[in-house]
Formats: sequence, C-alpha cells, structure tokens
Amino acid sequence: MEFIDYYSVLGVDPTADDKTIKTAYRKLGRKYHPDVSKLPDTAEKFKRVAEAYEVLHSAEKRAEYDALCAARSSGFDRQTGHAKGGFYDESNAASNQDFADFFNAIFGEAGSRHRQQHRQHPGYDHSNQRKGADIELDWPIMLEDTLADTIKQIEFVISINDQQGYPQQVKKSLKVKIPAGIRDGERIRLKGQGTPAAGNMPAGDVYLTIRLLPHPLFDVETDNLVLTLPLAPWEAALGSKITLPTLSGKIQLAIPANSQAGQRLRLKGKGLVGKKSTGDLIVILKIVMPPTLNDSSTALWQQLAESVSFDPRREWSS
Amino acid sequence: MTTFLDIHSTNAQLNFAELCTTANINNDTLLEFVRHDIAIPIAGAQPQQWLFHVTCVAKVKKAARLYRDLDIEWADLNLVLNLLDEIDQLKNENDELKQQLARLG
Repeated sequence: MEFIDYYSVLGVDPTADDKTIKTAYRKLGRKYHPDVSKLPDTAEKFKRVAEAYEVLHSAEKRAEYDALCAARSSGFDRQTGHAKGGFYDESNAASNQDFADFFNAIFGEAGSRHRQQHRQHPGYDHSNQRKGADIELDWPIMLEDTLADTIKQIEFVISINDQQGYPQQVKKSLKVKIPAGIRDGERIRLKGQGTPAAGNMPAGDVYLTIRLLPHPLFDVETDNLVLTLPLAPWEAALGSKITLPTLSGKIQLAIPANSQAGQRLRLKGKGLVGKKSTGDLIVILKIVMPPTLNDSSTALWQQLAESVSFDPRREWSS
Repeated sequence: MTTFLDIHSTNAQLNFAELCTTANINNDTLLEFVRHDIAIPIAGAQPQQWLFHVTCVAKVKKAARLYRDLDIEWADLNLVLNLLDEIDQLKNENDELKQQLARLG
C-alpha cells in the first residue's frame, strides 16, 4: 500500500492553516466535482480530493495523520513512494484502491463510515435503513427512435453482494420503452432496477438520461428538424424539384425560382414527433458552385456577368 | 437476466417521503430545498400533502451532492444550480450552431 500525501493532493503546505486548506479544497472541487466540471473522468479525482480534505480539515484526523507523517520521516516507515510535496502529480498518483486502503488503514471503519460528511448539518440520510444505490446512465438513441414508442434493450453492470457479503459485478439487461417524442436530456426512471439494498429496504432506481445521437443529415431545434440542402446555382436561380430525405421517407420539394442562399423553407409536420404536436422540417438552402468549370460553362458565366447588372457588395459602398 | 419494463415514468409523482428516499436526503434537507425553490411541489399545501414531479429528482440529488461536497450555502445553491443549467444549455446551443455552421460551410 502506497503512502498518500494528502497535502500534495490538495496542493498545500503541511503548515497550511484551515482557511488555506478549505480554499484549496473548494478550488479543486470547482475543477473536479463531477456536477460542475466539464473535464472527463473527474469523479475519481474528486473522490481523492474529498478524502484528503476530510482528513486535513478535521483537527483530530489531521493530528493523527501528521503523527504518521512524522514517524515516517524519522525512519519508522521507509517505504518508497512518498510524495515530495508541491502540487499533486496525477502521473504518479496512487490508484483509487490505494487511496481507499490507505484511508481505512489509518482511520478504520469508523472513519470510513463518516467519509464525505464535511458538514455539521445532516444533509444526507445516513441511517442504515436506506434504499439501494441509484444508477445513472447516459443512453444514446437515434432520432428515428423518438418517432414512435420504441422498445430497446439496455445493458449495464450493478454491484450485488454475494452470500459472504462480497460485492460481485453482475451484468443486467433491461428492455425499456422509449416514449415517442422524448428529447435529449430527458430522463426515464426504472424504479427498483438499481442496486439491491440490505434487508427489506427497496432497491435503488435506474435513471436513464437520453442522449440523442447526432444525425448525419438533420439537426434538431426543439420539435423541428433542420436540413441543409445543397443546390446548384441554376437550381436556385431557375427553381427546381428536389427529392428530400426525411426521417420517415422521401418527399418532393419545389424550390422557387430566384431562391437565395440561407433561405429557409418550412415543411409543416415533417419534423420530429413532439409530445403535443409534430414539428416541421426546416430546409436551409446552400448554394454550391461546381468544383471545376469547362470552357463552355466559363463562357456561359461570362455571358451572364456581362448581361446582368448585379453588385453583391452594393451595401459596402453606401 | 432480462426484465421487460413498460414504464411511462416521466409523468410520475412523488410524495415528500418518497422524494427523500429516492434522493437519499433527510426531511430537513428537503424542507430547506423547498424553502429555497430548489424543489417546488406541484400540489399540496402542507409537507405531508406535497407532491413533486419525478423530473425534480435529478436536481434535488445534484443539489444534495453540491451542498455536501462543496460547502455551498442554502441561499446560493439555487443560483449555482441555475447557472450550471444555463452553462449546459449554452453549451448545447453552441454545439448545435457549430454543427449547422459546418454544414453551411
């Protein structure tokens, strides 16, 4: 088991006062707390920071820890791996198991029982009579899955204690109905499908947060779908009939003559199925030049340039 | 193991005790959350009669974690939650606009 330098974890000096420790903790909390941070994989990092703070902000635990450090530096424990101080170096970080083992080795079960209860105020229900842990999962689904009630399978791993009380990872598979009109960020609760609880208490719940996968063609604006439609210049100028993809099949769209780039055409009821009504398909026109011009097309463009009086930068001269 | 579920849970409602159990918080904490508009009952005049929409569970759990982990004061908690929501919303909007811009490019 590796020695954990809690001062390095918080990036403070061993002589730091309570205020400095609290400030360091809040700063790292802002950086690593999974509810606040936008960085990936911060949960474990925050757990370590919280553990270091739990030890260092309690006068009793800090004294116990400091005594251990002093014994260590006087030669009582000459194991390698003691951090040299300064800011916590992730590259040399001990594993999460090391953290947990180290904490339990010093403060035992009693310490563990009160982990992360920094406040005097009892925010959490810490009684033993509590339901099993909830499981929160992101669930990526396709836009097509939201058009009608759809049944899909989801798999995840839960931790169940075996008869000896050791946690075992068990794969669980559920078939879940996705209600039509569900949107990105919405949640489905599967009551009682989370981690089982001890005794007669109910199992935890599973919360599935819907994540709509990006579509190769369509963007989503509430209930509307947005499609960018590439047009040749002459299709925009002369008008044309285009076959458009939608989520439920192909449709014909008449492009009016003299259409402009960026123009939006609205097709009622061809968007996403909403909870109250169906959205629209919004088509944004994009005019695309041919990649190469041959002699005859260059001549035609030349003829156009000479016969049409059009200054696209007229507003610049006013 | 495979279980078939057919739950229209997005419309579910929870009473006071159920929300405490679901979010793993005690009664006093939920009372504070209601007092600071973090959890808003959709029905009921007294705590015993209060009903909450199931969608508030996520916010209540997040509030409880922030309160526990970051020593945020009750009065500041709702502001923090709202700002975090706003950041998420702006980030999503930004991603959507970037994607649309890339399609037009």
